[in-house]
Amino acid sequence: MAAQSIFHDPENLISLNDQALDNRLAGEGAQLEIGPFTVNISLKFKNIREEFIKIYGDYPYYDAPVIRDNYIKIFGRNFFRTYIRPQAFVDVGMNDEFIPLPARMGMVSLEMGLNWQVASACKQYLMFHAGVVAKDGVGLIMPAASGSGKSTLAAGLSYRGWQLHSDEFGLLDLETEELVPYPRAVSLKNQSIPVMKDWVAAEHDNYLDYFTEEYEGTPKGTICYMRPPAASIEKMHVRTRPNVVILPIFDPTSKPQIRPITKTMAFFRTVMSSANYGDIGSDAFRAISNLIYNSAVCEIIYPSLEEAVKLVEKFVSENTEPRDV
Amino acid sequence: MSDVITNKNILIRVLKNPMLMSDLSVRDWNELLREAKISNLAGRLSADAQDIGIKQELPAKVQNMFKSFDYQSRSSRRMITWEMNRVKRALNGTEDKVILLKGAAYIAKNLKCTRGRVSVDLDILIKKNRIDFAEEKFLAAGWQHHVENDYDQKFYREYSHELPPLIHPDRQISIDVHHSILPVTSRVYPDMNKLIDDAVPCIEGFYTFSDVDIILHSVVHLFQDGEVRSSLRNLLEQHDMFEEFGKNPDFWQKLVPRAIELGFTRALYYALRYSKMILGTDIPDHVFDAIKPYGPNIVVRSLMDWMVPGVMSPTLGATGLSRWLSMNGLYIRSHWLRMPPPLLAKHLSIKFMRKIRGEA
Repeated sequence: MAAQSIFHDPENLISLNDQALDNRLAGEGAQLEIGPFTVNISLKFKNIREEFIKIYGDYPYYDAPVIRDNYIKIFGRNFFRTYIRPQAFVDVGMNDEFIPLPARMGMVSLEMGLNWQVASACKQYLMFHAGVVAKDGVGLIMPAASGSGKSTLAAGLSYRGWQLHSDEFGLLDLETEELVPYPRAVSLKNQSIPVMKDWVAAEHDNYLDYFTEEYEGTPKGTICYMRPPAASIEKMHVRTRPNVVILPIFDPTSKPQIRPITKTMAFFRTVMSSANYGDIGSDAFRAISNLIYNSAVCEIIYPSLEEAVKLVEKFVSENTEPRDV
Repeated sequence: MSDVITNKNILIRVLKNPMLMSDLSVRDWNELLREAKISNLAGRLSADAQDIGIKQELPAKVQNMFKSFDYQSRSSRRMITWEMNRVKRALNGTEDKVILLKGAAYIAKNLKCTRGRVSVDLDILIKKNRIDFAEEKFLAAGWQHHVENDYDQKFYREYSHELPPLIHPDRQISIDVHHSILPVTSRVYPDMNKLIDDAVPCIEGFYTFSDVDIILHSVVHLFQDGEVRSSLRNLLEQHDMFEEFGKNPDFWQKLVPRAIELGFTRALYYALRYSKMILGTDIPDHVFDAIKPYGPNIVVRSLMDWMVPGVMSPTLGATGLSRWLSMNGLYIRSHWLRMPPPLLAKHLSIKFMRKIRGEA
């Protein structure tokens, strides 16, 4: 039995069948638990609910009302925007206006809304723009800019036995200095979509069940969402202390290689990747100093996902002792 | 008095009596947190819980969220304080009184209303004939103009009471450099020399207005120049200041006479009225008696009593048509007080044309 949320009564958790979940989403909302956050989600468009259930159907939900971090509501603002030319209007409860997208892209609006709530308001955890995974007591942070392939790499590792914490929001508890899993849908863009479909197909015959449709023409090009592996959802409350930091660089023309970097450089690159370092201030400085002090660090340059996974596993096995979990 | 709307509101009830937080239902917590985030008062709840010593008893989820709000408000305070330091450096050696306004002044004076507060920009005031000098210094120190559009630039310089906002690219905090506390086109235009002469030194390199003038500035900003919509936070800061400054009996003696001298009586009337009505502020009777003759006629007063409490928070009370009327009634009122009708017509039509052409 995996660890439970430290915030709410586990007796109140239920799994919902598709119909029951659909009813809640269409009504008052469903209280979705993802790692340390609970969000009430209501979706007034049938097509968005279907896509949502495909990705989040197996997540835990709270039955009776609990105190939640956020709510998100997607709806048509009037008759015209609900039925004639449906447009997904997003209310994230934060005074922020979102540019509404056509309702067929509603899943993109939902994921962007959830991103915004975490990216702009989460200060209780130190946040890295990084892919984070864990295995056998190894906590691996891969800080990188958008387009470096960190999402694909984190997702790729998660379908080869690693626990997915997040493909882009690494969270660190400032008191315990543990990584806090936040396994949302993995957001795949453009050329990484076929790569991940092939990757998952190698493990699962029904691989298409793991992906939403491909949304073309979004502000970020074509986007497709992928469900994390069942084991990562199951372990969403299992935390790990970080001990490896790898800076990934995707270069299709290069030979795969591991390049050593200094701890000083790793410190600065990790600071640069943190979205709330400045807000948290001295506590963040201390946490990243400790984190880098206790971690093996390197840069990897890789031409393909297959090679990247080999490099990561090689570096990790050569630089960490197995830990009890 | 229309106490029905605001007395039902969970956020206002908790602001008036933070002890309520020790025994709230799940539903109340969700409603309270939602309201507080929208009104930008989440950090305040945490500070209140801390002050009365109930933080450790709150539900684990709430404590976890409050941790986030605490980091946020501390961060905001640190950023504003650092920006003041940069401003002092940019204006180094000036003989002029550089006066901190609004949030920056509250922070410099360490007022109660800064507990848990989040400020996003820095406002300062300097004499009108020195405003070009200040602009030159800021540009030389690396600040940049944020507003590029020619009409907006011209509008700021000719009609408003401040320079177009400046932003330093390294820090991304906007500084507003004022020469007056109201637009030059306002119906009521105070003699700024009186306010500047009375300003007192606070932290090194900066002045603030006197206590009475600080609160009058907040009051005209809310009830004369600004928008009443979604301004619960501003009313709360006035409530806090009435209570904090009011401990000094001298403050109450000076308040109404100073409002008369500066021409801010109507705004002060509303601030006292709604602060007491909505937040239960403790205000001496003699102050109400003194301000009463400056109130509006009964028709306007009833209208304001009907509109103001319902729109203080975006989610408060009024719904449907009555909300729409209140919101737009107060929006038009604020513009009406801000500039003469021909200018208002021109300004709004330029804004409207830009909107339909799809420009910013």
